[in-house]
Amino acid sequence: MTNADPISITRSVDIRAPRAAVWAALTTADGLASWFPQSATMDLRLGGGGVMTFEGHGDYAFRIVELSEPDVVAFVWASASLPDINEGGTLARFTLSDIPGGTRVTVVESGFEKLPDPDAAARGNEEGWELELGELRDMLEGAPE
Amino acid sequence: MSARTEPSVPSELVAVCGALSDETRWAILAELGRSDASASGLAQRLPVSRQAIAKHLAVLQQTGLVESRRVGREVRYRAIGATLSGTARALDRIGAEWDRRLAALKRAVEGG
Repeated sequence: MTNADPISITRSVDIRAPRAAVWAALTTADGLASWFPQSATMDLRLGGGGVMTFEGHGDYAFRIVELSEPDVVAFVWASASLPDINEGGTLARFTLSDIPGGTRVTVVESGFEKLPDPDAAARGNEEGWELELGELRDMLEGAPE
Repeated sequence: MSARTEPSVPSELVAVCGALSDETRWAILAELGRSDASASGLAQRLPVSRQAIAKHLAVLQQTGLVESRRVGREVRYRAIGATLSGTARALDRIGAEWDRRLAALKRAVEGG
């Protein structure tokens, strides 16, 4: 049986700056707002988090699910239209490491299958139909000539 | 062009990732990638019941990863490569967004 690793995206960047400066850019409201959302709130603790606001696109709530200063911080985030961030969202996990002259940041985003699927309801009706067709096909496949 | 892009994921990607988050469906897709097969053919090759195979094939068809066609008296299932290619492209686009964000992070921290 194949091993179904979760589908994820990994990207890295090397930054010519000390670890503490990079850590601050990932874990403070002003730091995040310097490169990602237009503005943010931040309650920096495991289980904390806040809201990132993207001009013209609305608010995205995020929760901190991993925090190990100054090495790892991970957020689950989702658009604020989700009533509860627990209902879905992707995970972005940032790891920091020292390199000559600076800091490497690696981000792994995963959990795309956990997002709410707006088309699922439409497919839900089809699923019943497909299942019945499948059963019919199975019966026909087994039918004698 | 601003590097500030909000997180947004196309629903097709969500559906395909959901379909592929199941080990049995991966196994079915891998089998169909090797060759077309009927539901009973799959049940012979995989330690899964015919009923489970049918349910998984339904999910794979709904998400456009598999299609079926009649060959004589048999229904054969085929993996649709284009769907996985589309998924790979969507993932590449999200990866490119991260490249832009990380470049903005680099500028912000180095320039500060």
